[in-house]
Amino acid sequence: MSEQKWLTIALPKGTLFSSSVELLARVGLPVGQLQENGRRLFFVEEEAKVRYIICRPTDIPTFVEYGAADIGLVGKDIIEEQEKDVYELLDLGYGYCRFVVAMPEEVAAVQDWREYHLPRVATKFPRVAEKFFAAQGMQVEIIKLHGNVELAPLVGLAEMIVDLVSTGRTLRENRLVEVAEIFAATARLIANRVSYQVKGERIMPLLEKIKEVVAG
Amino acid sequence: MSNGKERAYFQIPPGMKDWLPGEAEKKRRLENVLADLFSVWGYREVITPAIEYLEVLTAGHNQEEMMYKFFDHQGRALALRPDMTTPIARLAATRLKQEPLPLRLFYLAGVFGQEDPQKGRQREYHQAGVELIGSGSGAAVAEVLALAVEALRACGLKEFTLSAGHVGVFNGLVDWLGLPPEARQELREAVQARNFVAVELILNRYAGSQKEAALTILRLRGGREILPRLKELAAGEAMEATVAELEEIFSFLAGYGVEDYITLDLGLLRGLGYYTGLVFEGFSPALGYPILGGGSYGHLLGRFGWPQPAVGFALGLERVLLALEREQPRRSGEGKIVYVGYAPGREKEAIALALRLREEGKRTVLAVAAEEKAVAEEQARRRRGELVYLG
Repeated sequence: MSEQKWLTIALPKGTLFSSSVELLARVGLPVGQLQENGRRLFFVEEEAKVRYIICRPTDIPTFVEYGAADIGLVGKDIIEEQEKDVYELLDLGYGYCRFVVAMPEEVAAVQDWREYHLPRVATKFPRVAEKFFAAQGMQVEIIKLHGNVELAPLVGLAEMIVDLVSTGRTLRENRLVEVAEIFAATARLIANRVSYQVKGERIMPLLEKIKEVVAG
Repeated sequence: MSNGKERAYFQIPPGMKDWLPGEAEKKRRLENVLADLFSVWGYREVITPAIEYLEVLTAGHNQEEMMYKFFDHQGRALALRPDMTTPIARLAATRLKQEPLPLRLFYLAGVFGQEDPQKGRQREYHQAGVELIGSGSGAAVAEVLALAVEALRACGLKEFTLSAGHVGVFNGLVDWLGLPPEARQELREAVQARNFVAVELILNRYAGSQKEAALTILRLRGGREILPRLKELAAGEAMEATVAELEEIFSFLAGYGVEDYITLDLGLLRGLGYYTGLVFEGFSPALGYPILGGGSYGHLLGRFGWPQPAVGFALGLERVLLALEREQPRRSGEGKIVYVGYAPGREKEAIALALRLREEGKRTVLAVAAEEKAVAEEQARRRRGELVYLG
């Protein structure tokens, strides 16, 4: 069996998973196994010559960059943070969220975020944060955290945070307020550079179908 | 017992690599095959120094931040070469101007770049490549492209393809769209990274009704039959000239019988700033990144005071070896040996036998002392060799 005929698709666990599976079903790919609630992370569909890898969203660009997966579905937030060498083929439209700068309400009411000198910024996304503040001509100290970033300003670890918000509920519950938007992110279809070339006859028609579904 | 200083003696810097016997032999064999191929195509080997003046290397492109840089004791800035095209352009423009044109040169060389080694890239890697200097004709470009196909074939790769684009397609397209300069650069970067989402956003802003045609062109792939399509989609003199050039190149490729290996991919742009015409990349389905890259460059030699068109390619030896390894796992790197062992008193006969075997071209390992047969058997077994014992 020639490797060229198989297509390996990486899918993100978590919030984007069900929308991604639904999209694949709508373009006619077999997704029966994916919908079983199991612990398996690797599925093979012999007839359609498709393999699925299910992994953490943050690992998807890595699988695709190395060619372990030919294409992947992943949030723009992760692509932007990791700067991997992958092709970004299509905006899938779902999984909308925004990168924002946020501060405690009572501080924001009296102090402009742009007027800080070397503020400490807590974030899970140091590259996104660094790029944004550099573009503003602001020097900041980035404090990388792995979760619950909203805690940092409440306990004096940071003056502000850079985080992803979808509804804004977490910010409100922690009495934080958005002071600037960095950019909005949605899920994207990404491809390995070589797969795009050597498996074009599989990727291009799929891309066209997904485009139709996304547009329609 | 072991502080950091001591341990540095046992390590090599990140991104560097030792080549152990089996690997080194595979690499040497590949180099020999390629050197022979380039020679029979009329290319001559050149060797340039690993260290050059920084300003020589930056004449080619602006990847200075990726180079290993340092100073000599007179304070002049030096750097390790990040590729071979620029050093060969310098060499040709300074030393080979009297030779009949076009020059056909090849090289096998290590090059250096401070890449992130975690991305599967080494900081020292080895390239085999050719440069044809003094012609940019369709026949010259086709020759180099055909030689690239032959090189990958000679390496023993079962499956590979080449994709070719043309910088003129992109330039013709932005002219036709009438993009302002700042948008050109933005679009160039997005096309180069194949960020089609960004491409579409830029076209939304500037391209108006021509957007769909532009997107179609940047996604157009196929054989030479797509060329008329390109002319229909985007008019303009620059585009017509590019299409005519591509048509000429493809007619020669058909003559070489390599057309089937090459896909036109009109959205292909290579990162290096010196390319001005056809650009191409080679891929193996076994590997997630290109194994070969090249193209034609019109202005690089002019930077060294000798304006000449040129075309060339470089093949990444580590990448080809990795692709071969994945295609044929457990392919042994080393040839079989014969182990000659001997009992006390038979030393001279053993030497004579070893010399005879070597003359026949057999890889022969001669014991360095008389030994019992059981010891000799063990020696031969551990070397996966055949035993000849003089008892």
